[in-house]
Amino acid sequence: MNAPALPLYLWVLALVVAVGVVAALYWLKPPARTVVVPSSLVWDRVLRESHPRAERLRWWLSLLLAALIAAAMVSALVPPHAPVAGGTVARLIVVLDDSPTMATRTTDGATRWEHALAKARALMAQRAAGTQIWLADSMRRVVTPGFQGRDDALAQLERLQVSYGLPPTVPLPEHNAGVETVVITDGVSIGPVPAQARVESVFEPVENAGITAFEVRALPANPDRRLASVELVNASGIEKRIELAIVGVGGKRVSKVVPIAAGGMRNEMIDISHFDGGPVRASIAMPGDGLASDDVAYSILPVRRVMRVALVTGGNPFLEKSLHAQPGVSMTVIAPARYVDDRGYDAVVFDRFAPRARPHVPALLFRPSRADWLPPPRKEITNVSASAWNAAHPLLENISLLDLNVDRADFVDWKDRPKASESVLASGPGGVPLIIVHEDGPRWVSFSFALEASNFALHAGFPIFLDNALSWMPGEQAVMARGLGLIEVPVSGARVVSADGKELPSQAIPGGSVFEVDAPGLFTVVSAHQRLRVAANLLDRRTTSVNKSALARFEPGAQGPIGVNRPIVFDTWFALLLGATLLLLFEWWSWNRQMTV
Amino acid sequence: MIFTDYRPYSPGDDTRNLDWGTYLRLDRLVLRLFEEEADLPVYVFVDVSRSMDFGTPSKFDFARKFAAAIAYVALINHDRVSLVAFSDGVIAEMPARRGKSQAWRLLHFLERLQASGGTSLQTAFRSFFGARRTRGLAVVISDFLDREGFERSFQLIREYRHDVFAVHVTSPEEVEPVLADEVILVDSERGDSAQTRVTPDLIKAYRETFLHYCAEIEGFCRSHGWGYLRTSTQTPLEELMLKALRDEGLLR
Repeated sequence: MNAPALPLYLWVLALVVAVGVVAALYWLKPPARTVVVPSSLVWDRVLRESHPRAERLRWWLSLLLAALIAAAMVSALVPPHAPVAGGTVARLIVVLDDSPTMATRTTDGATRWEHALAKARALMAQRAAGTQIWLADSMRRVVTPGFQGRDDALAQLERLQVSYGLPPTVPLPEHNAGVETVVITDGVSIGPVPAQARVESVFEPVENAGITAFEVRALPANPDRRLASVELVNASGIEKRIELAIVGVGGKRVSKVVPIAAGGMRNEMIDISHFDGGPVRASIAMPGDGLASDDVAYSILPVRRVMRVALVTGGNPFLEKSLHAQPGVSMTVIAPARYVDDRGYDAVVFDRFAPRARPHVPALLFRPSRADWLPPPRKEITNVSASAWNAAHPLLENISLLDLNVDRADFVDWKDRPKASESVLASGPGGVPLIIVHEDGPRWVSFSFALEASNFALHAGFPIFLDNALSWMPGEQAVMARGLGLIEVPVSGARVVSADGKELPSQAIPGGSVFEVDAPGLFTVVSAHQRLRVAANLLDRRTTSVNKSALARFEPGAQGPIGVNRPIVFDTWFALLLGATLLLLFEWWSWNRQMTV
Repeated sequence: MIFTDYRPYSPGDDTRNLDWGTYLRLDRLVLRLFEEEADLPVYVFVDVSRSMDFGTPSKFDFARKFAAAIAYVALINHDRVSLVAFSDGVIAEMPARRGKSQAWRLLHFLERLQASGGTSLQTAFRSFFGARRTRGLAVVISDFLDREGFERSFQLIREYRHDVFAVHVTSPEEVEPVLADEVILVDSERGDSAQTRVTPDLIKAYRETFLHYCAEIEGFCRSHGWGYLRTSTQTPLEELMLKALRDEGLLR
């Protein structure tokens, strides 16, 4: 109930006035009517034997009941706003839940967030102008909340919006004992609410479906085949038919209708081999969908182009064939004696050879000969197996080196090359480097062993490795997938441009930049030397499950989304009004039994 | 003179009543017995105090009508009827009359009466019966709202050896007063007043007290073998005369 709250002294005044009016009405006597009776003989007897004291007590009881009813009704209609202990200024703590699920649209067309804002505004407007309000939000957009005037708090409230990226919590000031605390939330993703806080719910169950995972990639066993993997979740209370559409460059489109049971999840693999490289957009459509931000997701399909690769080798048919088999590779075999430079090639593969000068294009080296720009080999070692490798590196994606055995390899003294740009990708027992990568400038990858001195070429993952290497080395990094909210990119002084050409504000941080995204999309981060693509998507199953609220007994699939039983919350005003009604009923009952007057 | 029975002749009996026919047939002296209705004086007391001027219709009007009816019955029964209007003393008196032809005087007397004064049964009875009166039936039509008490008044009549038939006139407004809130109760006879807050409990207590007061009067009359009739001004006069008075034995 949006009843205006009064400061304590005004509330007391209202109470006194109400009780006073009631008492005055009790004391107010109409002028006594003169009635002529035949004789006062009988009346004298009656009056002599009547009990005026008991009558007086009944009158007082009646007055007490009426005063209590008046006080309860006044308190219900204009509740008091208690000042902090020992002070005269009233204080209020308001915590708004601005987590992603608050963007859910309810049946009246407004979002939960808009309902929360309206509640917060009403809550603040009820308070006296001098009330000190501590306004905070669950996503910590108000970085340093503090007690402030009502008008300032209202102004700050208008600047808040639904945010993404952080786990929502309920921030509270340290000294909050005795201060009225109100948390306005839908109860879906917010953390535990302190016991002293009163929860104002904006939860209303809605129908919702969302994309909770989206990825486009080449099939490792067949790089020519590309798949889009989409995970869909139906958070509605009933089974839904969800229309899924994948749209690529040039308007190429694949769509299908996916039936999903209430609260169910489906993973769809869709062949998009005919798509050209570039942005890919997955979207779903479902009538009455509550949350829009999980209905669309973006990714980037790598561009297929012919890569000119020079293989510098004294003779390695297996490597020759493997490179030749790579899709989109135009290979030229050059004998080491005839190698001059790397002009005219996109990448060079050196087999047991290394040029004196560092190539200007990415290079893949198998047991290279000694060169100044490479880690120097110290000695030859034999019978080495891979014991540790960085599986998260793009080069080793979908590859295991578990059974890699090397007959002979160069022992590279890695301790003498503390370069930040170089790292060991795989090593043998005792940290013997087996694969070293260099990421600054034109990239290179150096194996300390030759292919024919190991079983690596016999691995099923070897062609995949070549594909990974030829994709990674040119610097065409796969799209960086991030969630919504603040996005950190390792690009200093970056400009961030959205897919429609709008520039987003970004801030420099040590070692990179940060920018904020509040809707799914593709963004390009550009600096003087780097260029990075970022696909920002919601892709969060907890967010899509907008009905899993602690404030509702609704479980998807248990019953329809409409008409869900909400927990009954007895507000103070309701309790007071109920009390006044009960007192009125008691007064009526006691009057009928002549206990009151 | 109404024949009632025979009985054997005893010496000293009035021989005028001997049934000579029976003697001739049976050779026995049989005396015929007759019942002669005595010439009963009926004193009809009508309370004309101000307390009687209450209710709709007023107790006063009802009492006058009732007195007229009783007196008329007595007149046609060849009783000697005296009408006495009293309040705190004897206000007016119609000397004893007999015969139906005196009915107009009776009505004229009653018609001229006005309600006034307080109630003092004792003063009225003492004043009336102080003069020597033939023993008779005193029909007292009143509300008996006498502060001096009805016992001593009736005791006085008893001392003069009169029979009493008390007609207690009440009005519905008196039995069930419609009062609420603060009222000043003014005594219609004495003019004194009392302010009180009327509650349902008080009304209930009044009703009980009033009925108790009526029961006291009735009990007193019954204990002395007198007739008592409590009637409301709402009771039709015909019903009263044809049923109630017969039930009470005043009329046959």
